[in-house]
Amino acid sequence: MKRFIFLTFVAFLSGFGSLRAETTAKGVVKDADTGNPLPGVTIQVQGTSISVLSDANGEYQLTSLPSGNYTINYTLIGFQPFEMQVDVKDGDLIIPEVLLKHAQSDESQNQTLSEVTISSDDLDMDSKSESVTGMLQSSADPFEAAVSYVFSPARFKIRGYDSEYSLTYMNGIPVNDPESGFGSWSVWGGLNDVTRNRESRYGLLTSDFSFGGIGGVVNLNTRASQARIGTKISYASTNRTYTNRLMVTHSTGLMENGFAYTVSASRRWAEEGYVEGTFYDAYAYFVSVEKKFNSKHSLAFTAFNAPTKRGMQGAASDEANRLVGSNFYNPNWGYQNGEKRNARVRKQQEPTFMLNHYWNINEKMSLTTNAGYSFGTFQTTALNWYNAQDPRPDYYRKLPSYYSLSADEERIATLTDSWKNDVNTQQINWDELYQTNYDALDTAKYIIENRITDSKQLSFSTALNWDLKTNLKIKAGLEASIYKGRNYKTMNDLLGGDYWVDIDQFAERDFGDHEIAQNDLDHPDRQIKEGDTFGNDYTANVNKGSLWAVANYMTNHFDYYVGASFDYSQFWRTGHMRNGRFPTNSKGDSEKQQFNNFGIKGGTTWKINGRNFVEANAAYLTMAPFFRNSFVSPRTSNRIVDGLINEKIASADINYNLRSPYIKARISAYYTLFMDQNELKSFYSENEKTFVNYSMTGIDKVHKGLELGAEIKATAALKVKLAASMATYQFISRPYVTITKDNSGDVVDAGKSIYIKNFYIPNTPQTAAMIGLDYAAPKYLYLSANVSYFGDTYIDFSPDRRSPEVVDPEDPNIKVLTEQQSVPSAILVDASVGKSWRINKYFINLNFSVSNIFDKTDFSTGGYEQLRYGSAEDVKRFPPRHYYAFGRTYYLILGLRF
Amino acid sequence: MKKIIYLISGLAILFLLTFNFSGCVDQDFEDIEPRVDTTLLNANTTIAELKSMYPGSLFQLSDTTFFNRDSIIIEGIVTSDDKTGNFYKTIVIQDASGAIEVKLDKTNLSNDYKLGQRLIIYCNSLYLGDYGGLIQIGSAYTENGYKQIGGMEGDVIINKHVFRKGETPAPVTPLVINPSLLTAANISKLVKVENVQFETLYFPGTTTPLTYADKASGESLDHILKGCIDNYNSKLVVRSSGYASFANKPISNLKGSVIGVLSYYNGTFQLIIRDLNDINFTEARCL
Repeated sequence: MKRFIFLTFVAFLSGFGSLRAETTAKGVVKDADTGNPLPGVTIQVQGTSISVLSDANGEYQLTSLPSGNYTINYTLIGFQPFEMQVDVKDGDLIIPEVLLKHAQSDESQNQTLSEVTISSDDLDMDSKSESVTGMLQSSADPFEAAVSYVFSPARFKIRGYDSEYSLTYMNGIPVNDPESGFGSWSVWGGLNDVTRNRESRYGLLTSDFSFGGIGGVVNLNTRASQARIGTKISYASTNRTYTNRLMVTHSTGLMENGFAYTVSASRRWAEEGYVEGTFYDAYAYFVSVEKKFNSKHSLAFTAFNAPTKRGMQGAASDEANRLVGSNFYNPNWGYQNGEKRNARVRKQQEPTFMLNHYWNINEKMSLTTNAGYSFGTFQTTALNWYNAQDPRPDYYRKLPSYYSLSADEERIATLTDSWKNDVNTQQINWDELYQTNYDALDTAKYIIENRITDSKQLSFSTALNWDLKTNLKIKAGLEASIYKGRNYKTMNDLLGGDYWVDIDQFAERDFGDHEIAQNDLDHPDRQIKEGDTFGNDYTANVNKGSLWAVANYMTNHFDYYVGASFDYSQFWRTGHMRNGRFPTNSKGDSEKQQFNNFGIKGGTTWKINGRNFVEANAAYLTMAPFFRNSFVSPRTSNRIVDGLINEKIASADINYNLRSPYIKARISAYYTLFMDQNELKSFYSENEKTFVNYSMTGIDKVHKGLELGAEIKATAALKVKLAASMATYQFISRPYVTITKDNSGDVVDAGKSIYIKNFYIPNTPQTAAMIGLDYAAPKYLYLSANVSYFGDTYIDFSPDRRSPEVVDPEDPNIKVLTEQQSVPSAILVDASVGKSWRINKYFINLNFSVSNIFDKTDFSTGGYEQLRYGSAEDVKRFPPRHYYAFGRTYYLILGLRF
Repeated sequence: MKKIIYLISGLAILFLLTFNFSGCVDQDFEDIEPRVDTTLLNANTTIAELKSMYPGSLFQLSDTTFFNRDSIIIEGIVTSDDKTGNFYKTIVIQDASGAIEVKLDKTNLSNDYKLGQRLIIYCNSLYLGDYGGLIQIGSAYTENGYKQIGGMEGDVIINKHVFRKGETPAPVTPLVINPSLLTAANISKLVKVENVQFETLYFPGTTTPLTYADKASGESLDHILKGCIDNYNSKLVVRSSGYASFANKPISNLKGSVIGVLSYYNGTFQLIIRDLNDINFTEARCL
C-alpha cells in the first residue's frame, strides 16, 4: 500500500515535469598552482539537491537546472572552498574555468583533525565506538566546518546523535559495524590522502548513494581516476596519540591506456603518546586501480589495510588523578624490567577489498554497482585474575579514601604519600603479579587475556540515478550484506604462571558447584596455555538487505523531494561453547531474530533568490535493534532480551541559508524524537553480590536545538568564522528494566521503571560555540586562531540509582544518589600558522598548529558513574570517572608535492 | 610503466625506512625473573612476650622504649590458609612460645603468605587489641565512635610491617590437646584434638543434616565437639564461615581427629579449620 502511494506520487510529479525547459551547465576545475585538472571536487548547487563530483579530467556537468540565479560551491579537502554565482537561462551554459587554491590551514587541519576524530574515544572501551565528526571534513558549510575542526575534541556529537545514526559509506558500500551500528573510521586510519574525496549530506538529507539516516551520510570515494595526480610525501611531528607520521601517496590520474592507479602508505608511531604508558604502532597501505573501458563503463578496484597496535588510556577516579597530580593518569600500565608495559593493548586490522562498476547508461541515467569483502580482527587485551586481589592500581580498596575509617592518620599519610611518589603504587606492579604466579601451587593467579572479535563481511550495493525529466530526478538503490563476527577470548600471557583453568570463579563462588562453574562443559577443567581459546566463544550473525528510492522535483522557486526505504534484517547468535550455567541454551544457534523496517522522508527548498533559501526536511524511520543490545548475556547464552521491538525515529528540521559575497550563513532548528530504544549494561551488583545484566527497554529521547554557522569576509584577507549549537537532548520516558544474574539467568527484577525522565543525554556538550579568524597574509603565509566554548555536558549515569527502591524523598542522601552530574563549562583557544613555497615543480608546505594553547588540563568532556553501587556510601566508594581533553598539543607537518 | 617501477621502488624505500623506525615501538617484554623474598630483620621478641604486653584494651605499640627496645619484631610460621574462605583477612603465625592472629585488610592472603611460610612482623606503630578475648595485632579503625582493632590498610601498609623470610616451608606440627590444654597460652596455636565427634548432626527434630555453615545467609555456625573419652564440657566448637567454600557441605557423621587454629570467643574455644582435610573422621561414632 505504501509503495503504491509512493509510486502514485512519483507518477504525479512526473506529470508536471514536461512543462519545464532543460539546461545543462558544464565546467572544469583545475589546481591553481599546477594547472592540472582536479578530479573528485564536490560541486554543489546551493539550495538544490544537485551535487556532482568532477571527473578524471576535472570536468563536470550539472544537468536539469531550472533557470534562475544559483550559487555553486566547489569543495575538496586540502583546497580553499570556492563559490561562483551563475545565472541560468534556458539553453546550455559553459561555466568559466574554476581554479582551486591550496588551503594551507585546511591541509593541516585535515591531517590533524582526522586524527583527533579517531582518538577522542581512545578511552578504555572494548567496543569500537568512535566519534564521526570526521565525516564533515569536506563541507563548505561554516557550522559543519566548525564541528569537525574545533568541536570534535570536546566529544561534540552532531545534534547529540550516537554514531549509529550517521551513515558511513566507502565507494557506495555501507561500512558501519553491523553488530553495533558504530562508525568504523579507524579501519582506514593513516590513509588520509586517499580518503579525502568525500561526499557528505547533512542531517536528514538523502544522497545519490543512500537513503541516509537522520545524522548525515558520507561516502568516501577512492576511485583512482578521481584522485589528485602527482606524488605527495609528508612528515608530521606531534605529541598526541602518536608522535611521528610518515605518509606517501602517488596517483597517476587517468592515463592514455585508460588505467589509473593510486598507491598510498603510511606509518604512525609513538613510543609514548600524550598519555603516559600509551604507545602507538600503526601502518597503512592502500592501492586502487581503475580502468575506463569507454565513456560508459569504468571498473575500479580498491584494497587497503591499516594494521594498528596501541596502548590504551583508562579513565580513573578523581581521587587517583588528584593523588598522582594529573588528569591524564593512566592506570593501565606499570614497569616490567624497567620498561613501561600497558595491560590494555588494542590491535586491529581489517583488510578490505572493493570492486566498483560505474556505468553511464545514457546522458540521463547512471548505475553504480559495488561489491566488497572485508575480514578483520579487533583485539583488546586485559588483565584477569583468579582467587587473587584485583591487580588494577586504582581499585577502590587501594585508595586512601577506602580507609576513611582508619583510626591512624599517620598510616593514611603513608598511603597517600606512597600514591603520590611510588610508581609501584600508582601503576600496575607487574613484578608482584609474576611473583604471585611463580609461587602459585596450581593455576596462575594473574593473566592477560585477549578479547577478540574476528569479523567477515560480504557486501553488495547498487544505486541508480535517473534524470527522468528535466526537473524530475529519481535515485534508487539496493544494499545487502552478510556479516559474521566471532567473539572469543584467548590466553595472551600467563605472566610466568603454568596454566589457567577454564572455570568461572564467580560461578564457583556463588554455586559451590564444580559443573556449573565450567565455561566449556564439553572440555571440563581444561588447562589453558598461551594462545588457547577459553572463557566464551560465539558468533554474531547479521544479515541485512534494503531497498530505497527518492524522487526530486524542481520548480523555479521550490524544490521538493520524497523518498522511502525498506529494510530487512536478521540476526542470531551461534554459541561454540556449552556453558556450565546455561548447558541447554549456550551452544548452537539461537532463535533467529527478524525485523522489517521502513523509512519515509520528504522535504522542500524555497529559493527566495540566488542568495537566500529555506530548506525544510522531515523523516520517520524505524530501526531494528542491534545485536549488541539484544542478548541477555551474549557471551554465554542464547537468551534474547524480552520485548525486543523496532526503534522509531521522527525528525524534522528547518534551515535558512544566506549566501552573499561577504557572508555565508546557515541557521537551523531541529526536533527529533527517538522511541522504544533498548540498551544493555553489565556490571557487578552490590545487592546481588554477582554480575548482572541490566536490560532497559522503552527508552524515549528528544533532541532539539538550534545551529548557527557564519563565515564573514571582513577584508579580502581576513575571514571571521562563527558557529554555535544550543540544544537540549533529554530522556522523556521512564524505561523499563529487567535485571538478570549473569551466572544463572535468574531474573532478579522485571519491569521496574527507572526514573530518568528529563535526564540529559550524557557525554556531549549541549551548548557549544566558537569564533575564529583566518588571515591570509601575503607570500602564502596563513594565520588562524579560534576561541571555543563548551557547556552543559552531563556525565553518564547509573540507571539503578534512579530505581523506585532508591528514590525515597525522605532520604537525606537523595540528591547524592539521584541527581545527574554535569561537568564545568570550558573555554579553549587554538591557533595555527602555515607557509608554502614553490621551487620549480615542487610545492613545499609547512604548518604548525597548537590546540588548547593555554594548556587547560581540567577540561572534562564527560564521564560516567560507576554502575557498582548498593548504598549512598558506595557512591563515595565507587565515584564517577571523568574523561579529560588533552592539554596543549601541537601538530607540525612538512609536506612535499610534485 | 616506468612510472610504476618508480612508484613501487618509492614505496619499498618507505617501508624500509619505517621498518627501521619500528624499532622504537618495542613491545616485547621478557618475563620477570622469579625471586625469593627475604628480609634481614630478625625477631627480638617472642609472640608470647608480645601478647603479654597487651594491657587488656586497644593499645598502640608506638612508644616501644617502654619495653626497653627500639623496635618490636616477632617471627612466626603461617598456620592459616584462606583458600577456602574460612579465614578472612587474617593470617595466624606461630613461634615456639605461642601464636597470634595478624589482621590484614586484604583478601586472597594465601597467594602471599602460604602455609608454612616464615614471616617477620615489624610491630612498631601497630595495634594490639582483642575480640572477645582473642588477642590480635593489626591496625585500628573507628566505627560509631568506637575504636577497635582492624586490618592493616592494604599493600602499602602491609609491606611496611609484614615480611617473608626465606622460602623453605617448615610446617608447624599441631599440638595435640586435651581439656586441660584449653588455656590462654595455647590460643591461636595450631592444635589437634583426637577421638572427637560432632555432638549434633541434624536440624532439631529432622533428619536433615547440619552443614558446616549457612551458605545462603553467609552466617558462621558453631558445631560442638564431643570427646569420646575427654569431656570438653561444650566449650570446644568447630566454627566455620558461611563464605567458606565448604559451608554447604553436611558435617561428618563419623568420629576422629580435627586439626585447626585454636580460636577463642568469650569463654568458648573454637577450632578454625583450613579446609575439610582438617576433619579426619574415619571411625564410627562413639556413644
